[in-house]
Amino acid sequence: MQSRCIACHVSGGAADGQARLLFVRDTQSDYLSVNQQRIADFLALDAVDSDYFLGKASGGLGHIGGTQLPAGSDEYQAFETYLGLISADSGSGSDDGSDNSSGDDTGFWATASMLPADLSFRRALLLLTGRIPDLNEMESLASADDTALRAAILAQLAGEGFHEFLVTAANDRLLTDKFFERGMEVLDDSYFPEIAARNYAAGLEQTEEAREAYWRWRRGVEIGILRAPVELIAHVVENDLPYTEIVTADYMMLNAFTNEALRGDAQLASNDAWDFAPGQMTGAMIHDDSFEGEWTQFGLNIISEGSNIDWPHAGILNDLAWLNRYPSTATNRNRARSRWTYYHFLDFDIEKSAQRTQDPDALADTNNPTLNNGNCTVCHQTLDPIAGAYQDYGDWGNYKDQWGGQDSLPWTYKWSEDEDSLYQEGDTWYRDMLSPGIETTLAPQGQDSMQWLGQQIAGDERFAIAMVKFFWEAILGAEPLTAPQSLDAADYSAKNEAFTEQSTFILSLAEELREHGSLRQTIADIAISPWFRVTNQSANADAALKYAVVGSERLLTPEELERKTRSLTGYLWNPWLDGWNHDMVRTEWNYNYNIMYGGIDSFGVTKRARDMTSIMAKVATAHAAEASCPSVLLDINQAQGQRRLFNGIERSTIPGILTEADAEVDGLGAYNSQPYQLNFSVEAGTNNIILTYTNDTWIAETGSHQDLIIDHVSVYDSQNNALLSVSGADLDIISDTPLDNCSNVTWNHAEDTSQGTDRVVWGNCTVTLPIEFEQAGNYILVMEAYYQEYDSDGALEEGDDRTIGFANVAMSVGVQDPIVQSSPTGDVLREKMVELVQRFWGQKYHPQDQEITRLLTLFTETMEDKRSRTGSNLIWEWDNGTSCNFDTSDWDTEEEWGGNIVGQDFFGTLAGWRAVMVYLMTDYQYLHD
Amino acid sequence: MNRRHFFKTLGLTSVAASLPTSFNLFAAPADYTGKFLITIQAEGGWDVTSFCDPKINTGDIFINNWANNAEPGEAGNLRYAAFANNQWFFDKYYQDMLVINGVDAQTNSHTAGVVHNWSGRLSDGFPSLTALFAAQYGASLPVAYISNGGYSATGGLTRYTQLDNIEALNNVIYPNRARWGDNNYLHDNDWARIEALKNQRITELQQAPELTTLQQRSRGNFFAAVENSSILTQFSNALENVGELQEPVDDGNFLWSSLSRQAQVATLAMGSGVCVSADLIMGGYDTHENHDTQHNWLFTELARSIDFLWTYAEQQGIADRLVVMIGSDFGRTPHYNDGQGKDHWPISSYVVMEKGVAYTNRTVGLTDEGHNVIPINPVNWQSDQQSGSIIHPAHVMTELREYLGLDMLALENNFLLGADTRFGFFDS
Repeated sequence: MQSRCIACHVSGGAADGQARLLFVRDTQSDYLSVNQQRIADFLALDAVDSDYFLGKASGGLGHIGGTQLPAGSDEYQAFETYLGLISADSGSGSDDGSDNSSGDDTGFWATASMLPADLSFRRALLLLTGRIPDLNEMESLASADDTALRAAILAQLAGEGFHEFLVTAANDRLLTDKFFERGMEVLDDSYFPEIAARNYAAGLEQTEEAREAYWRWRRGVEIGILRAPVELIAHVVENDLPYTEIVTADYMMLNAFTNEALRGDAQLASNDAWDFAPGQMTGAMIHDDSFEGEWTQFGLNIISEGSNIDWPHAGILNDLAWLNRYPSTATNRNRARSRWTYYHFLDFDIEKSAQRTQDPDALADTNNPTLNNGNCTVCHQTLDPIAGAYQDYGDWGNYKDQWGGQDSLPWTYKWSEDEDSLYQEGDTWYRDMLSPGIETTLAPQGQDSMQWLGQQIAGDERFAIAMVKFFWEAILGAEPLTAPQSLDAADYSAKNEAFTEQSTFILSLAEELREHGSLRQTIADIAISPWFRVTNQSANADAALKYAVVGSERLLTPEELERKTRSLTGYLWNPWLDGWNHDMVRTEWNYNYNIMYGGIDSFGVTKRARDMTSIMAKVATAHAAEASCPSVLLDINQAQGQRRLFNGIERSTIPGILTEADAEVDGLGAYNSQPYQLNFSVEAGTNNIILTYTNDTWIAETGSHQDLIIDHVSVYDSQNNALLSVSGADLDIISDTPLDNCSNVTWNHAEDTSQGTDRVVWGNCTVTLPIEFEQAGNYILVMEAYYQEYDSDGALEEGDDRTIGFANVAMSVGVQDPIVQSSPTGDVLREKMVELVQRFWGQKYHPQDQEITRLLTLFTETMEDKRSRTGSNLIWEWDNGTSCNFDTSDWDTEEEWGGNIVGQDFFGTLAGWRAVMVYLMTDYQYLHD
Repeated sequence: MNRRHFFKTLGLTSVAASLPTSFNLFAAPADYTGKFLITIQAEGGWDVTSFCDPKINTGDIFINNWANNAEPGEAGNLRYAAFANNQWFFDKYYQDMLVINGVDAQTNSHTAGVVHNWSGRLSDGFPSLTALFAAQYGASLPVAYISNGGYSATGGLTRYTQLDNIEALNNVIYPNRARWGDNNYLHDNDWARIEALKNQRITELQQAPELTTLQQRSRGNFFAAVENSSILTQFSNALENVGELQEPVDDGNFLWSSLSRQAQVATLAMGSGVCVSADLIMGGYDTHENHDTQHNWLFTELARSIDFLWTYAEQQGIADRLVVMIGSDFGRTPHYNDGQGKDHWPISSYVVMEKGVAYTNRTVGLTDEGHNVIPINPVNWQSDQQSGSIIHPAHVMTELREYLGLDMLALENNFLLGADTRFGFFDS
């Protein structure tokens, strides 16, 4: 209390006239007893008790002084105990007193359950790196304890994905991406001679090419500046640099363009506008006596540069984009910068302590009320010293931007119209405001006040707390809880318990952060905590738990969803390179649907929407519909072992198959018909004989194509008894399937028959013949078949050169009900679906679970339906008006359109997988994680 | 699917039990014939002394440059500042306007001012008026509540939708329709099969036990979003037939507004039956420098956009059901600073607009020549320095809630504002 409350709650202090509790200073000899009595008196007031007092001290109940004793801290708990004693002495206050021992994690989370380590790992990687691990990675952590899990997560917090997380999270707070779409006033040519020189030189050339080259270069500069603060944070975190460098770094992050424009000394690996490295800038100048220039039709012609500044880097605090994002005015006097400095780096939101006077006299006070009127000083006493520490930076952020280059004080202050200015030559700050500093500590003369402020903040215990909170929402999808504001609310106690529990946790992380200094470790600590991992709570859960709105199944942001889809499938939603923004990758997510899906533009919309709406559901569904086909094609056309989705799966992998083999039918014409045999074993019962023509080909270059002609199909038992003997012509009857869309009956020219006996198959075709096997045993399937190849001159004859050479038939035997009955391929598919669900949804299912059966049903029915409804042997069906937004040109050959290669779907399995993709990607568990 | 059957299959009670009382995202919509609500949030703190609470320069008080050579105008029972395009606006709409002056926001903090003016309470947590309205009348609608930014807290009662790209919206209303050409991506059979299986899954997800608060909220939102999305086609059809959308405008410098486009989209959505409330925003009012030039442009554009809103609402056939509330963070100082700007001032105004009602063409609330609040008698609205009352946002919000039929919803969900005085703003 002596160090905290009394700073304001004393006569003449900021709380004097505002609060009901005033202490005496320690200069009074009996101050201890007096102050204790005042606390007792205070507790005796109506509606005041220990909870009220603690609520105020921890920043709740509208406490203008913000958080003085963070809930859960040692000081807070000591004060709680003290108040309990005082209350007992005075017989007043809360009678339920100190049951608020909520620092016990087990107690608070006792009725909740947590994600297991492997799924926590998956979720952490998704949100923090944009990558979904494969099953092997997850399984290796199945029984990991928190230490092992933390180490595993920490090992993954690197690389491009983590970088993307960091810069996105940092921008969610700093909102400097505003300058992607809005002007950046700080980039005034007259303060940056390199920019001015290039602009002028380009103008002098008077060519379109020169102007375009200049603007492209300048855009690179803008990207470099607007991204510098978030890149600084990423640099500090990724390199395990002391977190304090965020406000103390004696460098900034530069890209190749800012390195030139700002005359930086960064060692850059590339000229890419999106690559950054640390360096110092010396290319800003002031308008002192050295400066001479003339404005021309070609821009500013600098005849003599003003003095260049060795920029006194102080991390984010005097970063150009930061200063420009929170500009000042002649009357604001850097207070906005002070407000946001407190908010981001000192864990104090002064705007939340915002009830202001309605006293007309106070409002009408024109005697410098922010310095003199208690109604105003209550906030300004806190706000204004840090505003003063920004004294060297002008409204837009330029260093000592006034003529003469001695200060940034506006002329309206220095030479006011009524000639009563307090300004004196050499001043750098307003005399009618509190001096530069932080709260009651003054910035020393002769030292750069910004760098000094950075050091002060770095040494302030609130900074570590603020840094833990800095990343909190980006990880957990919810802002940190704030102290409840009304003691009268029915849910005050539960809310306060939740707040205290969370606050205690944050404080513990902050304390550790102060020791190890690594924000990367802090991020990992959040990811292994119950706040991240809670996934269920029992029906009789503690009321406080209800207010911990965290854990699994939060709505993914558009950025997170895009990264998730890309990680799982390799697919980006209609990407294009934005040349103006130096080949930034634009997609539907970040261009057209960002705001609609709850994202921010860092300007008009600065808070993410966290609840799914109907429009968002439509966007997600459209995304899945469009992504499904390319996702399947991208993957299935990769070699086994290099796929994201379908390793172990072939196009021919259909459920229910017991035995299968390919027959390369290469006998040209009926006279060369040959038998193709498949030996198989089955259990007694009905099974299916399945014949699929799998290489129907058309080569445009030569006009080559081929037909399969099935002469006869037979099934024999081990004693050579025929169970089935059917001519090709009768396959449609026996299979009870019209085969008109892929075949027709034909004569066999080698046989003397009066009617067609064979079946010529000219399109994508599958014939399924159900056979009743009375006994289990070994059987033989025999297909007699030949093929006919054509070129642009017509049918080939023996001795002609063949281009295609054969017709391929997949001969297989399968169970009658591939969903209900077990089979080797069915098992493979179920295992694959288990894997997909775990990776897409973060859910573990048994292969026989009804959810897996549902997926297998979708796959199988879609596959079978596709085979029956279309003559298309491709995943898209021209005849049925379906398409696929996929560029197949990479697969084009001299002879053949790439679509015929990558889109092959003779079995209908790709259509099945496509439907599975839509199902998976529109699911609640996909969109929430 | 029959809606009642849908409730049953979803086993909704497991979720609804621990959500706010009125978090019934599946409430059956009668064919809605009630009012629509739009708020226009002038972000940054507007200068009402140059708009609906005109102040002239008297003695030592120099408030407005425009008052050097002009007197406030009168339109019906309203007074307006001789500034920007006010005369045209007030002359055209005075019969549809209630002006509430002397509203004390009790803050000059932007954040707190926004929260206070649009929720009625100074601290966070309470829903905006528009959110309450959407929860009451649009529970089953796909875009019941449109937000363009500004204050859009929902208090867990409903969800808001952000619509910034109408062309892109049309591309997803029929999600299986290919982006180019007339094809679909998936065959209709496959699409129907997916939908059927998803319905099975949704049922199971809803019936899952032991959900956390976040899970209950997320699942409830998701299933409502999916279920309620079917009638978006009406909105899509309206958008396809709208022709050119209103283009954003700027002042050639830093001021910019898409208010008329926001109004157009909101009105179309309401006319299509998919929306009942919307927040429209217009930034730039925080004029610490060069106040007159900027506020002139801002008020002119504000008037033009409000006029467009009413004209367009008329075309959509909803003008006689529309309530529009216009306000800001707070007011601006009754004097210029050294940069010819005006700083923050807690006293502000609301304008409420509606056609064909008895409460319009009148002003409630008083301020003195220095734009300080004058307490008024809440019955006769006359000055009463001794025992009068000061209007706070809570008073206006409380009576608007009552007028719009939202008071019970607020009561059930513990969102009462505790207004101690009733002024009868909307009484006939």
